[in-house]
Amino acid sequence: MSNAGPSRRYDGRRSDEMRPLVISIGELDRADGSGRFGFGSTAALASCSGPLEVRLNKELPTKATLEISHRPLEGVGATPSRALITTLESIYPSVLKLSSHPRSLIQIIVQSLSSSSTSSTSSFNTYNTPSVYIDTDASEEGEPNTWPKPKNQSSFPLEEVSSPIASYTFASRSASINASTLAILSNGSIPMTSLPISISVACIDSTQGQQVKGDLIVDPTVEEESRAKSRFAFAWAFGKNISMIKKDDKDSDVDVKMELDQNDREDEMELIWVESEGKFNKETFSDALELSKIACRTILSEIREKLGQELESKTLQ
Amino acid sequence: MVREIDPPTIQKDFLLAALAEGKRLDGRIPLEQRKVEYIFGEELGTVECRLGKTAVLAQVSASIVKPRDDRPYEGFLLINSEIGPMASSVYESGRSSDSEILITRLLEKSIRRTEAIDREALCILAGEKVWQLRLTLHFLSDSGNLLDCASMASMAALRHFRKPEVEVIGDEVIIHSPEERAPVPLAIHHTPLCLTFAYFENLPPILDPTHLETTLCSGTLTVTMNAQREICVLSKAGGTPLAAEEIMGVVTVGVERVREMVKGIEEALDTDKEGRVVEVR
Amino acid sequence: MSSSRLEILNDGGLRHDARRPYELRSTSFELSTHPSAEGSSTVTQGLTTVQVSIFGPREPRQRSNASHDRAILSVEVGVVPWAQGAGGKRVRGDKRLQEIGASIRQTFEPVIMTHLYPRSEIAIDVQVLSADGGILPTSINAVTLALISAGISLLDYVTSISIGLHLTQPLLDLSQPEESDLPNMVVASLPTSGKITLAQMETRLHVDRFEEMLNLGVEACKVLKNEMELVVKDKTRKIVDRMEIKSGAAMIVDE
Repeated sequence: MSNAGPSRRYDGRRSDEMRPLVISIGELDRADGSGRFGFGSTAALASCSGPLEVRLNKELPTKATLEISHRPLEGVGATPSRALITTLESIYPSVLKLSSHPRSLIQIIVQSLSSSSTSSTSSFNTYNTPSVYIDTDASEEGEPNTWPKPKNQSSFPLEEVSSPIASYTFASRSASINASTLAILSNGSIPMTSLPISISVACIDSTQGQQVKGDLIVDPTVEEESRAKSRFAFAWAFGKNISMIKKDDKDSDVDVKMELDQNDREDEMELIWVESEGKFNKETFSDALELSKIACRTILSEIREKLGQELESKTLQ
Repeated sequence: MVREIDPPTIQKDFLLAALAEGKRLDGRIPLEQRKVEYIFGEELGTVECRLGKTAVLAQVSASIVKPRDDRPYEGFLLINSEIGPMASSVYESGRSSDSEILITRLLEKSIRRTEAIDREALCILAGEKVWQLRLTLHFLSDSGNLLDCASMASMAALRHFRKPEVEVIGDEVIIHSPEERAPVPLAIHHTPLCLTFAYFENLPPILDPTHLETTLCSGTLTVTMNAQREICVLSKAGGTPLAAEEIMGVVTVGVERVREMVKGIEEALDTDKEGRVVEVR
Repeated sequence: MSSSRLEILNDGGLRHDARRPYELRSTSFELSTHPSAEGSSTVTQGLTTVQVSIFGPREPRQRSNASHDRAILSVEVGVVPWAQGAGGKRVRGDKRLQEIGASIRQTFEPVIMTHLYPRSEIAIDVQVLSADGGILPTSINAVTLALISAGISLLDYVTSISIGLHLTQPLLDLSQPEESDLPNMVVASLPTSGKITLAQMETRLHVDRFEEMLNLGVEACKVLKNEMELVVKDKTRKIVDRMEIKSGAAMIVDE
């Protein structure tokens, strides 16, 4: 698998190619808004309800209470879930205009649709395998008990250090963010200043002859992530005039320039969230950043298209 | 926390008037079920079941644990079935409402207590190692009749799931990865499925009530049956009193319906199997 | 746990506690057994004892739950720690108890004339003092009596019984060992009309056997109702007698 060459990955994708995107909007009947987003099979479903009645002890006098929860595919939420929630909580309050619905509740629920595999351990599940964990208590000293058995273990050494939040792959974190964005969009009654869209990038060592160089790949699969030297996930917030406020602070004569910007069809984008793991240098990071920009734009245009279709089908009814 | 607003009287009157003529608001006849759809996930044992607009996702995973001392030959089946606010804002995570308890308890009874899964077949090494199955249910959308949808999703997921092949040599257990040996399906005795009927005062029962129908009805009756004409669970908790003949009538309808539903699951599983490589490598 | 080798029905056709298949356990119904509740009762069936206290109709504890056109019921079920011997320790919030509570609430909601008590709450507190099978049926019987003792308007008595099946022989009013060994169901019915308000079964049973058990249960519920009515009438007669004595005395004074 690692001999797949630098330009083609083992599933035949180019290094800057994403898996086919799964986007569906408003499929849940009883939520005000819902969205499903998947990078291939790495998918998440999110619902966004609100503004709802808020419980008295959580009521905020000037803005809406934002409640984000997450459910993993198997079992009940634990630390990985909590970590994902924290991520989402760091993104959404800044892009939602919560002040437009004071004393109410906005609920975002994210449901992972792909199992949380840690980036280092049970990562050798290829397609069509059930996810099986071995209870450490039950397994004995010897190795024969581990399933799935890590094959070719020697060919790529496993990362022995992984942070506690490593339980969700970067791709599934990105999918969760995108699904939440879809859900909020589909809800329609919560104003947003910009649209956060996320993508994961991994840096894989490829040994070509004597030289070791890092290849950047967009939207890595579980396996690619586990082999990667470093992993990133970026979320870009797209919108018009989002950076206006900041520019305003600096100098006032940008105003004219800004109006030009406004006419520009191109959306402004702002980096809203980054997470990374593993070793990387400055160049790798800035390359990954550039890659993510392009990928997020692609995702945005797909979302736009889908949303357009969705709205059109609604107006017909 | 969010109390649901009662449907307006005019809507109630309309629904009852329609039912009196044997019509339902979504165009079904009284004893008709909504369209059932199974969406199988990439991994074995992940099934999303859609019953009209009601959706439940079921996922099965397995791990190896030590059996209980008093039952050394039995594996475990755990069911996680918390209803979160995604299904509807009336369900709150962390605190369980009455309806949630009824749903989860009935599911538990229908799947676990009816011995649908042969738990002794989950034994690997008596007293040492057994499989523990974990069935996680995600209630995605509550558009009425979550229970039936969940039971279909659960049984489909359990029948879809395969556990890896194990080999026991002396005291040593070897677990084969799916690349080495094809994983094996679970030993399932029968396929119990829930059927929920709703009652309205002085009207014949209706099958598979929608959310509105559930809110307005004067009582529901859930019967869990299998294709072998056995009643596994019957639950009519209060509501309008019924004569014994009326209950028997419902049960008779159930016998037929369950057979069709089991067939539906089997067909869906077969279709999925065709597009999937699990058997031979 | 009891041994699973228990002989359910011996050669003489008697059950393990020497009852015949259709014979109920000894029952005792008592009214007004709680000092401060509006109505209360203690019902013993065999070795299962349940005490029920009714509070209300009263102002709802949680205003938000009140309904403008009828009374709401709230049911709390508890089992004292010693009720099931050392092994059975039930915590509050046990799902099984919550389920029993929900069943009781739904059983009585259509039977109590709730429209007579708008904006109020009727709180039903069920305490299981000793458990030997049939917690739910005994609780339902006790709630009926407690509601009567509280003077709350009911459409009818609600009586309940458990029915088991041994091979092809139905058995009535199961004790704990029988309950854990046999397929069984609980039926609650309105004896006057013979209609079934609650039917719960948790074990596998063939459809053809089911009808027989159901009908048997309805019949047994009628018998129970007669027993309960005797106790209620006896109690009211005593009260009426006392009142007559008192008013008679008053008349004498008047004269």
